[in-house]
Amino acid sequence: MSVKREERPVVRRAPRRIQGLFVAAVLATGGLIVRLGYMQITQGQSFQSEVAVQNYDTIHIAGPRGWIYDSEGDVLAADKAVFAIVYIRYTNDAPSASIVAKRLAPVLGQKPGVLLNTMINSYQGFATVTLVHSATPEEIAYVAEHRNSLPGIVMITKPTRVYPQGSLAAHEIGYIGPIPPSAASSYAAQGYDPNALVGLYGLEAQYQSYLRGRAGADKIPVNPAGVPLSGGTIHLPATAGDNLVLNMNGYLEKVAEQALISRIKYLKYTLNEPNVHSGTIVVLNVHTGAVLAMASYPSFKPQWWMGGISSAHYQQFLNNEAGVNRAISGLYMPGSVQKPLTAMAALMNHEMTPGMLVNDQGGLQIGNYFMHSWNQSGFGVIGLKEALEVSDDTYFYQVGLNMGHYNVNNPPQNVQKWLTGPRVKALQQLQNMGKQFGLTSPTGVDLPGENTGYVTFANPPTLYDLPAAAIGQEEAYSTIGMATYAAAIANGGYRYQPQMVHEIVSPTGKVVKLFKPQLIDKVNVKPAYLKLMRQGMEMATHGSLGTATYFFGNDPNNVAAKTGTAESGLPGRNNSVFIGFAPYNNPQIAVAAVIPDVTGEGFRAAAPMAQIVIDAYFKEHGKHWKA
Amino acid sequence: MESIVKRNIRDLDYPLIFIMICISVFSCIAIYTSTYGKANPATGNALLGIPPHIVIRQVVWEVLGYVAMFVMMMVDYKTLSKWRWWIYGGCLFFLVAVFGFHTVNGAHSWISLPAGLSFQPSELMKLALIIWTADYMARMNEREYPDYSLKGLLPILAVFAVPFALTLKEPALGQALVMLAILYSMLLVYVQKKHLRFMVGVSAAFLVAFVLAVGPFAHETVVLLKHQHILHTYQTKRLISFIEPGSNPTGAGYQVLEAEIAVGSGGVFGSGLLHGTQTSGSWIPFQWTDFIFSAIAEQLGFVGSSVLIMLFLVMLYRMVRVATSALDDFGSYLIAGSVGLFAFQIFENIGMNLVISPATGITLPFVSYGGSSLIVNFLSIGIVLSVSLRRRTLRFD
Repeated sequence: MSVKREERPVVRRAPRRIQGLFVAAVLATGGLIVRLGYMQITQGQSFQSEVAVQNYDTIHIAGPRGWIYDSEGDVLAADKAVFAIVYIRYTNDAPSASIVAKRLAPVLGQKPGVLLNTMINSYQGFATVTLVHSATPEEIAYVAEHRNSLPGIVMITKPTRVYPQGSLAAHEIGYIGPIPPSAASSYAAQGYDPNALVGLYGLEAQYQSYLRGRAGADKIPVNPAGVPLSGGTIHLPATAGDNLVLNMNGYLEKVAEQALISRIKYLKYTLNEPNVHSGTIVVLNVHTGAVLAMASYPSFKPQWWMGGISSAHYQQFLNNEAGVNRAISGLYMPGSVQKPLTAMAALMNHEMTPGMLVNDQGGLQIGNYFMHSWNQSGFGVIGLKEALEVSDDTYFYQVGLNMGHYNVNNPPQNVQKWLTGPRVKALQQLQNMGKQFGLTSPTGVDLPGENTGYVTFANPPTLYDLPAAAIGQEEAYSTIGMATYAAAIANGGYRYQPQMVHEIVSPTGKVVKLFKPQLIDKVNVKPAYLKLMRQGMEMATHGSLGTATYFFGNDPNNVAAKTGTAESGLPGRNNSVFIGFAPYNNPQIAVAAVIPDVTGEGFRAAAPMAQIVIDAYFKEHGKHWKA
Repeated sequence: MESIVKRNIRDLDYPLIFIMICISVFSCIAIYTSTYGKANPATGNALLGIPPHIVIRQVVWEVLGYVAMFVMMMVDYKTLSKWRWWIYGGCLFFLVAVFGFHTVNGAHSWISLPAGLSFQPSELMKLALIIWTADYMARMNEREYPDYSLKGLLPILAVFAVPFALTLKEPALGQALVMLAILYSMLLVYVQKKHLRFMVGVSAAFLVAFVLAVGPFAHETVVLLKHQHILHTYQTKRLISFIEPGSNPTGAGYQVLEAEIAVGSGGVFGSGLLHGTQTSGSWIPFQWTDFIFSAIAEQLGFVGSSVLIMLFLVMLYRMVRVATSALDDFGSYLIAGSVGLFAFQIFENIGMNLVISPATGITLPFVSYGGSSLIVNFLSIGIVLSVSLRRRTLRFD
C-alpha cells in the first residue's frame, strides 16, 4: 500500500547521484592530464621539431639600401622603389580568379585568358606568381585603388639602385651585384638572402654592412601541397640601410674629373701623345685626411651593373682597366716627387746637413759611368732648397751616395760588399721614411683595393740604383700615398688616414658613426727640415728657375709643389707626377696627380690639371661648400 | 527577495566567483595572444575571420556576463519554474527564426543583430531545456504517486527532440550533442536505480565500442563511415580524419593536426606568451574559438594548461557542493544539468585539442571567444549562485 507523500521518508537521490557525476568528472580530468603530460612532456621534443619544418612560402622584400651623399647632401647613390604585382593563390580566392584576371588584364595590357592562365597554371607548386616585375605608375595606381576588388593580388616593393650622377665618382662609389659564388657562404652566415644584391666595389663594398637593408618578407603559410592557407600571412617589414655622407665634394670631384679628362684628351688628340689614356687626381684636407676629390680615368657608370651588365658595357669596363680605381690601386714611379723624401731621410740619418752644397756639373761620374742630370749643363754650386726648386738630379745623386757612404773619388775596395751592405741600408732608409708618409705603407683609405707602394731593391744590384732611387726612379707609389705625403709635409708631419666617409646616418637621421680624423703617424722628421721642404716646394712654384713657376708663379692661391718625371716603363714615355699643397703659409689642401706614358717633361701633363682643381677649390669655396 | 539575499549573503559561494574570475583571465590572455598582430584592431581581418576589436569585445562580453550572473543570482531560481514554458517557447521561436538568416560558416546558427552583433539561439536553448526538465523532474518527485517508468520520461524526450532536430538541421552537430549531454546527465541524476544501471551499462558499452572503433577496427570504421549517408559529408570527413589523422592533412584534419602540434610543442612550461610559433603564425584557423586551448597549451605548457583544467574541476566541484546542499530537487536538477553541460563541453573541447575525441564545433566554456555562449554560461553560474543563496529557509541569528 502506498503512503502519503508527507509521511514517506524523504530520500533524495539527486545529491548522491550528482556526487557520482563529479567522480566521473574527476576521472575524466585525470585522463586529460595524463594525455596532456604524454603529449607535452613525453612527446614534446618531436612536436617541437615538427613546428620547425612547417612550410611557408616566402615573398622576400629586399630592404632599401642606404643612400650615398656627397659633403653637400647631393645624392650620389639612391634607392628607388620598384613595385611588383604578385598573385597569391589562396584557395578561397580561386573562384574569383577569372574576375580578377578580367579586371586586371586591360590594365596590364594582356588578354584575360592569358593572364588567368599565368595566375592559375604557371609556377605550379608555388604559392605565388609574379605578374609584373616592374609596375608602371598607372598599374600601381590601379591596383592600389582597387585592392579590395582584386582578391589575392598584392604589391611587393623591390628597391633598385640608382646613380643619378652618371659616372661621377664611379670608382669611389663602386657598384653592387649578385653575391659572387666564392663569398656565398660568408654572406649566408650573415643572414643574406642568396638573391640579395651586395656591394662589389668601392664604398658600396666597403660599407656593405652599413648600407645593407634588412630584408623583410611576407611569409605565407602553405599546406604540404603548396596551396596557401587563407589569411595568416606574416608580414616582416624590411628596414632601410644606413646612409653614407662623404667628405667628397661633388663639385670639386666634377672639376677634378673634367680636368683629368680634358687634360688626357688634350695630350692624346691635340699633342698626339698616343699612349696617354689614363690618370689620377687626389685632393685631401691636410688637417683631417678627408678625401675631397678622387678622380681616376678611364671610368665607367655604376648603373651599368644594375640588372646585369651588358656585354658592350662590360667590354668598356674591362678596356684599359676602366673598372680599376687607379688613384688607390695604380702604382706609379714618382720621379722627382721623391726628392723631398730622400732629403728628409738623409737629414734624419745625419747623412747630410741642411747646408750641404754640391757642385753640379751636369751629372756625376760614378765608377765608369757618368750619370746625367736632366739639365746636362749643370747648375754649378747649389744648396738643398735650390736643388728642390730646379729639381737638381746631381744634388740628389750625391745625397743618395752619401746615404750609402759612397765616395765617388774614393770608391770602396770591395764593391760586392758595398752593394749588399751600405747600399741596401741606404735603400732601407728611403723605404722606412716612405713608410712614415704612407708611401711604402698602406694609407688606410676606406676603399677596397688599395695597393701599397714600394722601393725596388734591384737584383742584380748595381752602383747606380741607389742614386737612381734618390731621384725617384726605383720606387712605385700610389696617388693616394703621394697625397698623404704632400699633406704631411704641409701640416707639419701629421699623417692622417685618408677618409672617404664623413659620417654614417641612420634612415631616421641619427648619426650612427662619425668618422673623426685618424692620426696614423707623427712622422719622425724635425720641424725645421719639414719647413725646408715646404720652402723648397714654394721655390719650385715661385723661384725664377722653379720647375712649376710657369704655371703657379702668378697663381693667387700660393701653391707649393713638386713635379716629377719618371720612366713609365714604355720606352721614351714618362710618368708625369705632381704633388702640392696650398696655401703655402696656411696649408688647407694637398693634391697629388699623375698622368702616365707622356713624352717630355712631367710638368706639362699633371701640373695644369692640378692647378685647375686647386683654383676651383679656393675660388668656388663659398659657392659650393656649405661650411 | 532582497532580504533573503542580505540574510544569506554569507552562504554565497565566493570560491566559485573567484574561480570564474581566474578562468576569465585565462580567456582574455588566450584571445589576446592568439589574435595578436594578425588583424588591424579597427577593421579585424576578414580573411582570418577575426572581428574588429576582438579582445575589447571579449572583455565587454565578460563584463556583461558577470552582470547577467549577478542579476540571475538575485532572482529566486524557483521563479524560473513558473516561466519554464515561456522560456522554452521563446527559445524555440528563435531556433526556427534562425533559418531566415544568412549562413555563417555554412550553418544557420546565428541571428543577426544591429551593430554587427549576432546571437546564437541554440546556446540559450540549452538553458531552457535544463530549466524545463529540472522542473518536470522536481514536480514528478513531489507527486503523490511519482511515475518513474519509461512512460514518465516521454514528455522529457519530446521536449528535447524538437530543439535537437532543429539544431541538427542548422547544422550544428556540436550544440545538438551538448543537448544530449544535458539530457543524459539529468537522467543519470533522476532515474530509478535499475534504469541507472542500464544507462551506466550502455555508456560503458558505448565507450568500449568507441575505443574499438578508432583503435583495432579503425579501417573497418572508416569503410563503414564512407558508405553511410546519415551524417553530413563534413561530419563524416571529420570523423575519418580523427580516426586516421594523416588521411587528409590539408582538409578536414588540418586544424586538428596543427592544434595537436601546438599543444605538443608547448612542453612543460610553454613557449611563453606571444612566442608560440603555431599560435603567432596563424597555423590554427579560428584558434580563438574552438581551439583556444591549443593557444594556452602551446604558450603556457603543461603547467599552465593543467592549472586551467584544475580550475574547471574546482568549478564543477563548487557547483556539485551547492547542488548537494540545495533546498529542493528543482535546484539540484538545475545544477545537475549545468554540470552536465559544462563537463561535456570542457572534456569534449579539450579532448579534441588533445586528439582523444573527434572535432566538433563545441567551444570551451568561459574561454573561447563568443558572446552568446559567454552570457548563457554566466547565467548558468548565476543560477548556481542563486541556489547557493537560498539553501536555508530559516536562520536564528
